[in-house]
Amino acid sequence: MAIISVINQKGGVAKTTTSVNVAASWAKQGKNVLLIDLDPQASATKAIFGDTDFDKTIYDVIINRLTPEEAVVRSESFGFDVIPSEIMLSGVDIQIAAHFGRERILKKKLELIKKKYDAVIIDCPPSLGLITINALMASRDIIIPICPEYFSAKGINLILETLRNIQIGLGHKVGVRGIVITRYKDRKIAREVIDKIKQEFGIRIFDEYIPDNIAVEESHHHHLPVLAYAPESKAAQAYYDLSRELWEL
Amino acid sequence: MKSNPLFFDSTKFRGDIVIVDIELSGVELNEGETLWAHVMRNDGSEALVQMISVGVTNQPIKWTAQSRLEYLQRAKVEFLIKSGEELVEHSEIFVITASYTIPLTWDRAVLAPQDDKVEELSPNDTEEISVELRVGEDVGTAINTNTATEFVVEEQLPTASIEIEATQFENTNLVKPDFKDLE
Repeated sequence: MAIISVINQKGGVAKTTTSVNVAASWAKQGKNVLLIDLDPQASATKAIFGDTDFDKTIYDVIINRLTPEEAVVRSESFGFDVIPSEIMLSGVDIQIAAHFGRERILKKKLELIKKKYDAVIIDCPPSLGLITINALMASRDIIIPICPEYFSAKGINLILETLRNIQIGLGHKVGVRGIVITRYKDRKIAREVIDKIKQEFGIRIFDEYIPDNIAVEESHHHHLPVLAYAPESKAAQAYYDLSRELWEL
Repeated sequence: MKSNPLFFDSTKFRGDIVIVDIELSGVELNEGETLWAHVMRNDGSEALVQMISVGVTNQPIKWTAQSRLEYLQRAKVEFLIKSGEELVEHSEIFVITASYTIPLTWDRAVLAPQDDKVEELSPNDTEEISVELRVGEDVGTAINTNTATEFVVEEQLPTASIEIEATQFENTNLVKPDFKDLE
């Protein structure tokens, strides 16, 4: 089973959009998928379930109030299981700071259910704290969504430094499955940034660039994966192809 | 590593034994050489571990070896290059704080091959080679001309033209050949 974190400390790079649409595409391809919303802003939870409040969330799992199985909710429209998030998660770093093995809480919890799934996708918060460390310690690989803008390369450096520090200090090596180019507009600056990333980092950039497409935003409002909301759109096709490319790695 | 508590293992106390990956970059070996990590622990015990290459084709070669060390305690590491049992070169001694992976760099100078094998210079090779000549008590300097095989004495010594097999002096300008028979 693959556990993959979708991570970028920078906000607004389509982490949540990438997480839910890759998960939905895998589900469409017959995979049994679990999505864990680890962002206290609960963007993935809201994109999937709207404004529904959940009593049982990943927060309860992290503080050991629930088993992960008890917090799982099925989304029929997306076709996968979800462990939702809530704003309480934003304070959990302080709660677990003195916990023995605080970096491996999520990893241990996932041991209990990982046999049920072909893949687990973790939508990480746009920050580096104990919650993100937990996601990385539980993951075998990460994917990095980036918008090809001027400061994108700096963000990648920060992520790679974090991975290196985790390897040095915590003894866990996380692989980088690749970079997903999101919100792509065919402009000179975007092409230049992508070329720079290719030259500077020895990291795969997935062939499928996700275009800047209104269908993606609209699909969130309708609480559907873009593949269901606008199956003919370029974004839907790009996410579907990306999910196949990702699975084959 | 920065002292960021996020990156310390909360399940280990200072002094717990952990297996540490010692990683070294910046070293390329000549044929027949081996690379070793000489680990000196705080308690006075030592270990000599051979390093293995984990090079990736398009990146510089990286070497790694594992050793048991006390977590977050100081230790010392020095790297040795051996040819058979003979010590060829050693690095400075690195003082480390033990965590799971210790990345180190040793910029080993590129050394000439240690054996007698030398490459033949082509006649057009313009690499400058100077040779100090001693004829009796006189000292002179010969430098190569446009060809790599002909040397002309420039100063002090009586004008002479000496043909030398340039292949004897590959990569050096400090050769002091014995030219007694020129006297």
